[in-house]
Amino acid sequence: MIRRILVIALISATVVAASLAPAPQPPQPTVPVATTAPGPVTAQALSTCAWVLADDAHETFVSIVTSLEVDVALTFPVAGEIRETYPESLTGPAASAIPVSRVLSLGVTPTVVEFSDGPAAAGVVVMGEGSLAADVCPPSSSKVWVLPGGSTVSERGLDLQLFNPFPEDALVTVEPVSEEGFEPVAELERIAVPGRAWRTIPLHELLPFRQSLSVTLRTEQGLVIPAMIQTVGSDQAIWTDVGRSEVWEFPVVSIGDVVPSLALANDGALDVAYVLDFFTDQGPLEATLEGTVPAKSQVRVPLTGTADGPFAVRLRAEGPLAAVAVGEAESRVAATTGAPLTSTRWLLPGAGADSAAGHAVWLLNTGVEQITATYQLLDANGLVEQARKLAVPGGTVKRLELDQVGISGVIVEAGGAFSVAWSAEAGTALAFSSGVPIGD
Amino acid sequence: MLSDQQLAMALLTVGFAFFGLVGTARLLRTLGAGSPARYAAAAALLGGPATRALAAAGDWPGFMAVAVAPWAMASVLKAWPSTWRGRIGYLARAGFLTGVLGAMAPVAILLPLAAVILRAVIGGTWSPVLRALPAAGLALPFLLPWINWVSVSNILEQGTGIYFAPSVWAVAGVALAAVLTLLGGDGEAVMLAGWGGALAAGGALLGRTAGLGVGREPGVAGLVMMAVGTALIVGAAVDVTTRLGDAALIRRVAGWGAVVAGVVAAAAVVLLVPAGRLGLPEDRYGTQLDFAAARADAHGPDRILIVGPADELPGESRESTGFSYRVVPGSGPLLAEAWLARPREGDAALEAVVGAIASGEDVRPGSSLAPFGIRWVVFTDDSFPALESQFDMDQLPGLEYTTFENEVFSPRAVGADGSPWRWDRPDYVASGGGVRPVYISENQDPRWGEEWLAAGWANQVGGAGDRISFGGNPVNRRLAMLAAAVAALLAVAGIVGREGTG
Repeated sequence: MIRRILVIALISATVVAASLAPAPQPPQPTVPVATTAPGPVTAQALSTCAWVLADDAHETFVSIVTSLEVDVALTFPVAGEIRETYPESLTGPAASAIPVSRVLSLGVTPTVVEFSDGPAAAGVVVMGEGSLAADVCPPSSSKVWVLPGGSTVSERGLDLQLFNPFPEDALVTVEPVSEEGFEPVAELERIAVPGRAWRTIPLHELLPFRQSLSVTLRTEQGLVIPAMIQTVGSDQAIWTDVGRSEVWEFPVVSIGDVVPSLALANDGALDVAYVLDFFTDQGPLEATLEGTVPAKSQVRVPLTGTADGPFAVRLRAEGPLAAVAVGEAESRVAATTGAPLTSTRWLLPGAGADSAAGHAVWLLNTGVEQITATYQLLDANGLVEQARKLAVPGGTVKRLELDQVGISGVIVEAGGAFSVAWSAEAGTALAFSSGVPIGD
Repeated sequence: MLSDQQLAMALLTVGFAFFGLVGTARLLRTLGAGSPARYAAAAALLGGPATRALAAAGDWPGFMAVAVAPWAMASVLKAWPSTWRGRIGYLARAGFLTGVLGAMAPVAILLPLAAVILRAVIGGTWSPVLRALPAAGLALPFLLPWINWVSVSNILEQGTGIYFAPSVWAVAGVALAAVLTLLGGDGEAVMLAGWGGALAAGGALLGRTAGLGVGREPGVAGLVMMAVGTALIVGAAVDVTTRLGDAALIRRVAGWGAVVAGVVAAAAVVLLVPAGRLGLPEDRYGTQLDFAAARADAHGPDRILIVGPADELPGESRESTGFSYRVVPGSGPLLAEAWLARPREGDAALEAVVGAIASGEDVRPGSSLAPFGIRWVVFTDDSFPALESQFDMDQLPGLEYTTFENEVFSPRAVGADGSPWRWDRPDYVASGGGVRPVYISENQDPRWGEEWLAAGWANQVGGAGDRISFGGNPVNRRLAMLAAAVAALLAVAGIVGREGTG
C-alpha cells in the first residue's frame, strides 16, 4: 500500500510540475507601419511630394535638406510605371533644390524622394507667373487624412491631389465637410487611384461656393498621399496633412495685406474646445480666442485685427484637431500646416530656393526663457556662410529675413524647444511653408 | 513508388503506424497483459494525446519514433538468453531498435534506459537496466551525424520546442484510467499502471519545457515517452478485469471503472479516422505555393519568404519583432527542410532586412530581398499591414494568402554577366551564359569548391564550367557511413543471434 501511495504521489507531483510549466511567449504583435493617422512630420528616409508641377509656365524645385552625407533618389511614377529616377548626393549639412524640369516636364508629376540616411527632409517650391507655393513633403503614409482650409467661393480654384506612388491600386473615399455640414458627393466615393499614378479632383467643380471646405480621406485599399491646392487669381497655395494634435504652433499666419484665418477640422466623435494664444515680436498678447469645433465638423476662425503687425498663433485644444493657417488677399493666397510639436532642431527645405523671391524665416518661442537660435544657410556644397545666431525671447515670434541669394534650405537649432516656418514673396505671389523637426 | 515522394511518405506513415500497433501488443505481451489489453494499448498508443500532439505539430519523425519506442522498450524487457550467441543477438537487436528510435527522435535514445530505471524504482527488477545501458551505448553511433550537425552544446536548445497543451478531455480518460487502476488493480496492474503513469507524467513534463527555453528534441522525446506511458496505462486498465477475482466490492467498482475509462481512452483512436491523415496536418503549403512554380522563369522559381504567426508557417521559423518568418524554395518545402539550422551570417542579414521592411523603414523590400534570392513574399495573416507602402513588389491577385512578387530580378545565383543559374539541389547549373564568377545566395561555405570566395555573407565561385557542385560535409558523410555500418552490423548480429534467444 505504501508503494502504491508513493507511486501516486510521484505521478501527482510530476503532473503538477508539468501543469505549472509556462507556455512559450508568442511574439507580441506590432503594427509595423502607421495606418490610422499620420504622425508629426519628422525627418525620415522617405518623403512624398504629391504636388509637383513643371511645364512651360511652371517650375518646381524639389528641395532637400540634410545634416548628414546622404544619397538621394527622386522617383517619378507616371501612368503605372517609373518614368524617371534622378539621383543626387549631398554631404551634409547641405541643401539642394532640384528643378524638376531638368528631369521631366510633363505638367503635374508628383515624386517620391528617398534618402539613404537621415535626418533629411524634402519640400517643394512651385513657381509660375504670379504664382508661388511651397510645402513640406510628408514622410509617412496613412489610411486616414484630414485636410481643412479649402474654399471655393469667388471663383477660387480648389483641387485635391491623390497620389499613389505604390504598385497596389488604391480605393479612396473623400468626405467633404463645409459650413453646411457633411456634404456627400457620389463622385467622391470609392475613387480608384491606380498604382504609380494620381488623380486630381476638382473640388471647386463638385462643391462650388463653399466658404470653408475640409475633406477627410479614408483609404479602403492601398495608400495615397494627398495635397490640397488652392488657387486665388494666379497664385496657388498647397498643403497636406501632418496629423492631428492637441497643440499647434503657427509661427507665420499673416504678411502685409493678407487676411489670416485658421481652419480647424475635427474628425473625432466628440466636440473639441480650443483656445488660441497670440504672440508678437514684443511678447504674448493677453487676449485669447476661444471656441469649439463640433464633432465631425470644421470651422474657419478669422484672425483679422488680432494684432498690429506680424503675429504668431498657438492653438491649445482639448482633443486632437487638424489645423491649417490660411492667408488670402485679392489675388494671392498662402497656406501651411502648423507645427504639432516643438523641437530644438528644424530643417527648412525650400527656404531661399526661389532666388527671385524674398524669404523670411519665422521663429516662435512660446516658452518663458529666451532661446538663442543658430541658423545655417545651405546650398548643395554646404554652408553658404558662417552660421548666425538670433535671440528669441520667451513668448515672442521673430522674423529673420534671408537676404542671401543662392541658398536651397536652412537648418535652425537652439538650446530650447521652439517652432519655425518660412515665407516667400515674389511680386504679388505669396507662399508659406512649415519646417520639419528632427526627432530625438 | 520511391520516385513519388508523397506516396512513399504516405505508405511509410501507414507502415509505421501498423509497426507501432504490433510493437505495443508485443510490449504488453512481454509484460504479461492479456489480448484485449494489448489491443487497447495499441490503439491508445496512436490515439493518445501525446501522439496526436506530435502529429498535429507535423513532427513526422516524432510520430515514427512513437511507433518504434514500444519495440525498443520490449527489446530490453525480454528474458535474457542463456547462450552467449543469444546474448549478443539480444543486445544487437536492442541496440538496433534503440538506435532507430534515436534516429527518429534523438533524445528518445535514452527512453528505454530511463523507462526501465523508472520501472525498477517503482518496484520492478533492475536487470533490464543492465541490458538497456549497453543497448543505449550501441545505439549512440546512430546519432553521430545529427550531433555533428547541431553540436553537443546545442542539443538541448536546438529548434523550436513543441509545447504540449492538450484539452482537458484529451487527458481525462487516461488520467481516470490510471487513477482507477491504481485504486482497483492488483499488484501487477498497479505496477503496470504506475509505470505508465510515471512515464506519461514525466513525458508531459518534458513536453511542456518549450516555455523554459528548451529546444525541440527534449520535448519530442517527452511526447514519445508519454505516448508509451499512455499505452501502458490503458493496457493496465483494460487488463484489470482479468485480475479482480474475488476482490472487495469497492475494488471491483474501481476496476470496472478503469476498464471503461481505458476503453474510452483507447477509442480516441477513431478521432484519427475522419481526416484520413493519422492526425498529421493537412498539406497547407502544397497547392498554395504552386503559384511560384507556375510563374517561374527558366532558371527556377527562386525563393519564397513566408511571414505570419509561427504556428501557421511550414516547419520551424525564425522570429522578428512581432511575427515569425521563414524562407522556403519556390519549388515548395520538403520534409527535410522543416528544421532550420543554427542562424548564420546570411540569416542575420535577412533578419535585419525583414525587420526594416516590417517597420516601414525599407520602402524598397524587393531590392533588399533580391540578394537573398527571394522573389516572393507570402503573408499568412491578412492583418499584417507591411508592404502597403513600398515601391518594388507587386501584389498577386486571386491567391489564398496575400502574396507579393519581387519586381527586382532575384535569382538564387547569378553569373558575372547577369544571367541566372538554376538551382539543381544542392548544385547550381548555368541556365544562360554560364559566365563566372557566380554569386550564390547561400550562407558562405567553402565547400563550393576551390574557386570559392566569401562574398559578404554569401558566396562567389569562380573557375569554369556549367555546373557548380556543393561538396557536402565530409565529416558528416563519414559519420553517416559509420552509423550505417554500425546499424548493418547490429542488424546482422541481431538476426544471427536470434537462434540463441531464450
